[in-house]
Amino acid sequence: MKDGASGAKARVTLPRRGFLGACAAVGAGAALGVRSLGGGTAAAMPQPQDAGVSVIPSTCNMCVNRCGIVCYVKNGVLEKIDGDPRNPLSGGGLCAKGQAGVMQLYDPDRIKYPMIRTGKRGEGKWRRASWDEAFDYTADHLARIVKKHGPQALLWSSSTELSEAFFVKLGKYIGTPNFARHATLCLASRNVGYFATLGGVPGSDLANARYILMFGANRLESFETPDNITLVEGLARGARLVVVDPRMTVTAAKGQWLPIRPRTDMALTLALMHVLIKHDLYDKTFVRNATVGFPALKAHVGKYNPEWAAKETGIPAATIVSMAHEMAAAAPAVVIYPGRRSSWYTNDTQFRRTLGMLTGLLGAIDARGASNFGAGAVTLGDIEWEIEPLDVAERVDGFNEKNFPLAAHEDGGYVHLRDTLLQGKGKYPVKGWMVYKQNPLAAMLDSSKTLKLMEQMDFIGVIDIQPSQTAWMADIILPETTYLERLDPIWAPPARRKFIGIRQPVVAPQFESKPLLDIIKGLAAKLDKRHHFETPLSKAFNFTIEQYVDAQLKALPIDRKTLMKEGIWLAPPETAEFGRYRRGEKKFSTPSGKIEFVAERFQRNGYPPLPVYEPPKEEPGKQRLVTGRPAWYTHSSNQNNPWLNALQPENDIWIHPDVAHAKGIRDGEVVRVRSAAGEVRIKALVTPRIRKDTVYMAHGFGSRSTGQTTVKGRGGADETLMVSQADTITNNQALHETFVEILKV
Amino acid sequence: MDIETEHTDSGRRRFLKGLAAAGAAALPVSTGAAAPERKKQYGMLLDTRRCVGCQACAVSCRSENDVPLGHERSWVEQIDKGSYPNTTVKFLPRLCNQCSEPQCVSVCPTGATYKREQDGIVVVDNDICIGCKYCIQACPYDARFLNPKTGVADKCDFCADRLAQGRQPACIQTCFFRARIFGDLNDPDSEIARLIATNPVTVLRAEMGTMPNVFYIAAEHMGEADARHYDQHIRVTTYRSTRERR
Amino acid sequence: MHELNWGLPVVAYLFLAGLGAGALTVSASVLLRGGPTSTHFDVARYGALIAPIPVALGCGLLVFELGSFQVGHWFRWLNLYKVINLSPMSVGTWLLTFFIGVSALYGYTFLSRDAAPGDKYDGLRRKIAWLGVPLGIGVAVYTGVLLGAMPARPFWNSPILAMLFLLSAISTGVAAILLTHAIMHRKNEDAEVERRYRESGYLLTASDTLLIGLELGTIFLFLMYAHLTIGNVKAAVSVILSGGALASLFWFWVVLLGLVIPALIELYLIVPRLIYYREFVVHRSFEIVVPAAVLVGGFMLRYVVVIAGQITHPVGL
Repeated sequence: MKDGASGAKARVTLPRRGFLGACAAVGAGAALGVRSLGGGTAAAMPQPQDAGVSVIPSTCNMCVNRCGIVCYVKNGVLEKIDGDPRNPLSGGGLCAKGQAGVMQLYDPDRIKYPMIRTGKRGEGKWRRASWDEAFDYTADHLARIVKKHGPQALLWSSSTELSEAFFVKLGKYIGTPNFARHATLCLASRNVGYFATLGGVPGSDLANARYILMFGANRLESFETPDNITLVEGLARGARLVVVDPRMTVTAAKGQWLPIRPRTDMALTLALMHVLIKHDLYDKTFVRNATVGFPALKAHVGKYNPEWAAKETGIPAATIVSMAHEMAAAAPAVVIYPGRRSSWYTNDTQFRRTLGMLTGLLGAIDARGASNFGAGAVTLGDIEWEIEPLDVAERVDGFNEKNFPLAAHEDGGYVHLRDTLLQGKGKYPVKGWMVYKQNPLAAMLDSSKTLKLMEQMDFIGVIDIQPSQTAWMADIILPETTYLERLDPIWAPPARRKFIGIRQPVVAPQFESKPLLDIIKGLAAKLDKRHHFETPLSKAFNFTIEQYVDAQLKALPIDRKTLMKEGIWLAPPETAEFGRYRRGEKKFSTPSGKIEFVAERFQRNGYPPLPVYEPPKEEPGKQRLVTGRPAWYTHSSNQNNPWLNALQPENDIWIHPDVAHAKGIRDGEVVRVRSAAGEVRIKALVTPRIRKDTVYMAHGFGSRSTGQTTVKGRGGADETLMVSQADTITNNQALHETFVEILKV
Repeated sequence: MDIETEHTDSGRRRFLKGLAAAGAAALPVSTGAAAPERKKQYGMLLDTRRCVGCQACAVSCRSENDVPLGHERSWVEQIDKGSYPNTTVKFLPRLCNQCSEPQCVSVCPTGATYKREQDGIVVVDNDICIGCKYCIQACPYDARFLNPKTGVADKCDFCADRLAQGRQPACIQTCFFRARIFGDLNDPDSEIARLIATNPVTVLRAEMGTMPNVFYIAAEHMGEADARHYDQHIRVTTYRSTRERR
Repeated sequence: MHELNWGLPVVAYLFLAGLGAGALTVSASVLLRGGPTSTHFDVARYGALIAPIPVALGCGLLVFELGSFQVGHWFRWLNLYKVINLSPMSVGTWLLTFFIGVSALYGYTFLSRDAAPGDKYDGLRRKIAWLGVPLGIGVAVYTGVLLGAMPARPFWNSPILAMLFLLSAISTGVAAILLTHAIMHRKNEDAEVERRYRESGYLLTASDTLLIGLELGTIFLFLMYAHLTIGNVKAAVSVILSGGALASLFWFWVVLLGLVIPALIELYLIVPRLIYYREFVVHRSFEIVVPAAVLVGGFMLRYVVVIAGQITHPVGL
């Protein structure tokens, strides 16, 4: 029998304390195992044991977390993906999605070569094309539109990705202003709400917190490394967790579940502030030193008492009062969790403001176990880009400083954009739509409207790895390589222990897929032949990905080849420093330099400077539809993955037992779900884990794409049901403002 | 599974082993004697307080061990309990318990499955197994399956190949939440031994007499049959595409 | 749904092996008891000829359903012979192999149309018959032991199953002999032949009545045990009780059609001779239908038992 010791331990085994009564470890992350925040070790990368097996480090892409991975490859075949134990954020763990990356690479349904539509849009009839023809085809269509309507007639949409910059840049060099990115599909409201209050979105020291308040933010199913990890560590150390959510998620199950009436979250936060102020529980010193607007806040929340909030939210007044007391007692080691996806309601921005305000009132910031700024990222270099065109038209939809003063204009407001174009109110026609790494037909609510928007387009081109719903409606699909087959720009996330990670090919590109930069360069060359662009596109992209990465690493003490071998480079450790904001040494990034209860940015732009509660509307006989996800699916991107699909072949709709009983609906029965926007058929899951006035569907099913053979025909699409609504300030789409009727088939 | 082992090939040795193992299992009276002293007995501890049911371990196992779809070596069950709003959801990771009194071993007619001397892992020799499925019937934990590709009995073997390389089993390494702990139960200084010693732990189906080496902290042992008795809603989801809970 | 690891091939094997084992046991017992002027030599002959075939066929089915065989390892099953241990399947393998050899040889001694007591094979026959009785019983019993060895399968996990299988094996062996005998028999002018035929018929029918009575008693005890106990067995047996998934199959095909009705008919047929010392007369249709029903019932018994064991499981976790 072989002696297996290789010198490379998979993880450091440290003494583990009992679950209860554990005293807090000293120093951020020092006594925790590798899995915790800041615990990246300098251990050597795992080495191959078997002859013929290569061990290649890289960065996962099955979701945005981009955990560190180590890939085991034999004879050019990827056999296994392990987590990278040296990664300071993920610490060697890797979720089900990351493990299923093998099947993203080997998904029989993945796009293998450029495909040009032959039948009608969405019919699913394709013919294979060579890359040369594909580039010609795409360039023909794009150039035609540019010549006839100008470059601004192109809608250029993409979601966050390491290489996304290349796609966005191409759009900029072509000269369109009409970008539609991830922000208003997801977290724009949170960003703006926190930006206006705290000056940004802080990190959360969940591992050391004594009290954690989470609204939604289902971290134990919707992973956000390291928060999912540190939350469990904090719980293991005895932190009190309160989860406010109309349904009991796994996160709620690990703490106290407050089944709040949907869209009344602000009532709870306002009432909490009311109690903290009324009972003098707030952090007086901190409020005096580091905040502005307290007198106005105090006056404002005077009427938002717990009894009132109890009527609005359904949470007993006594609970609200005791929450305030517990939070105050635990302060500053309290995390009022900012959350991430803020695509719930039309007032999310203001609601997120109240979370920031609560943070400030408690002084639950800039301290151990609290919210903290200061996790920076390693600074990367950049190549010398050519100068972008100066004269670019303004956005077609007027999504600008004037109309949406606080929104992220560069990213576009998706709902506003779609509404504008559908109502014919655009400043000029938009005739072409290029999509990269985005699935707007699934991602946007009210999909019938997205379909209508597609009808307006003379050309739809999609760059993707699989036949998503959006790709299925395209005129041409250009296959990108998966993350396992390409070298990407460097991953340099904010983290307590700063580091950079490589993403590199672990196997050769499968079939005829190409990395994005190569696709961009191919398009650029063909476009240059057809149209004179202010900056020749080929000139703008006159570099290889290797040169790009070299430029990023230029100022760092590591070069590309070493990084490809090691996978990760850790910056020298920095000790966590608390108190600099509290002592006034550092200022918050707000106009006043302090935490703003009264948001000057809001006031200046005509928005209510203090959040005003609006009672939600109700529709008797109907339920409010909410959405979310399980731990093994990412949005609409991997339901077709055979290993993940085996866990949950289809989604269902969660219905409270009393509601099901009244309608005569049995568990597992297929029901009709009807809203003002559409209707779907889906199986019922009768469960007490949700309020009577709410129903829940996991996102990502009901795909129209028959190219996804594992998942086609399964489940129902929530986006078909959702009525088009958006946050009034940021235009963040509001997915939870739809009421549905559940009917027997 | 390709197994490196100190176990010799002689039929006679297997006969005697089979005799001893089968004899022990066939005794009508539980002797209560401790399992034979082994150098090492690998075991696992599942801290269900930390488990969030994300299925990472199940998929990691499938990937590492080429487990065909429709079967599992390792899976995580979900138990929903309660009535609104007093509901809980708990998770129960399950796998072969590497029993010290393995009933699968005592029924094997060819000696293909046996408990390794050096570390107590119960393994299947893929070259000897004929695929009679007796062991699959005999396992009280539904941990075995017939692998349609290899034609032989298959189950968790604590990633013996990874262990031989000094790596952790695939399920252990991949868990973000350190809900799974692995180590030598016979080493009192190991993390797993200390945790078992200092926490109330349970095993599955203790009454089966199998002496499992997989332990649980705060496991939810209830199933749907209990709902009738306690007038509560209980739902068990196995996340096994072809099997209900057993 | 539960995976059925053992399906029709195993069910068929259990039935066929039981039938063959029963046939050998009956044949050997009858031969040894018969003496030089065996009235029942025909019975012994039919039993001997019947015995090896279903057993060999059943074993063929077993090899066929092996996982290794199904993926193309045609001879992997020979690994069974590299080992003997206390696994009921290992013991069974050796028993069956021995059985097939012995019963084939035994059958060979009866092969000739002129086979008769006292012929040249007579000595060999009797020697083998001594072996045949325990061998047949062994094969009949071990299948029940094999199923009964697993606490993980509470429906199977009692010694009563082995008893039931033994009785059913002999009963189906008897029925097979009866059926074959009836089919092959042509009304003979020779009164002696007819008398022997009726005597054999009586012996077999009366034995079968007794066996079925014992089977019913065993089933009664099995159900009583399940009713009076708690936990796994109680829950498992509910699958053949009112409302259970296999209840109708069990009570109609196994109990009514396979046991009660044949027993009542057989009782009706033997009472004149048994109690009143009148002649034993059987209409030919009964001679065919009754053993056929017993055989169907025997098959369905194996079917219900094999399925029931796999769709039930220990209750707690």
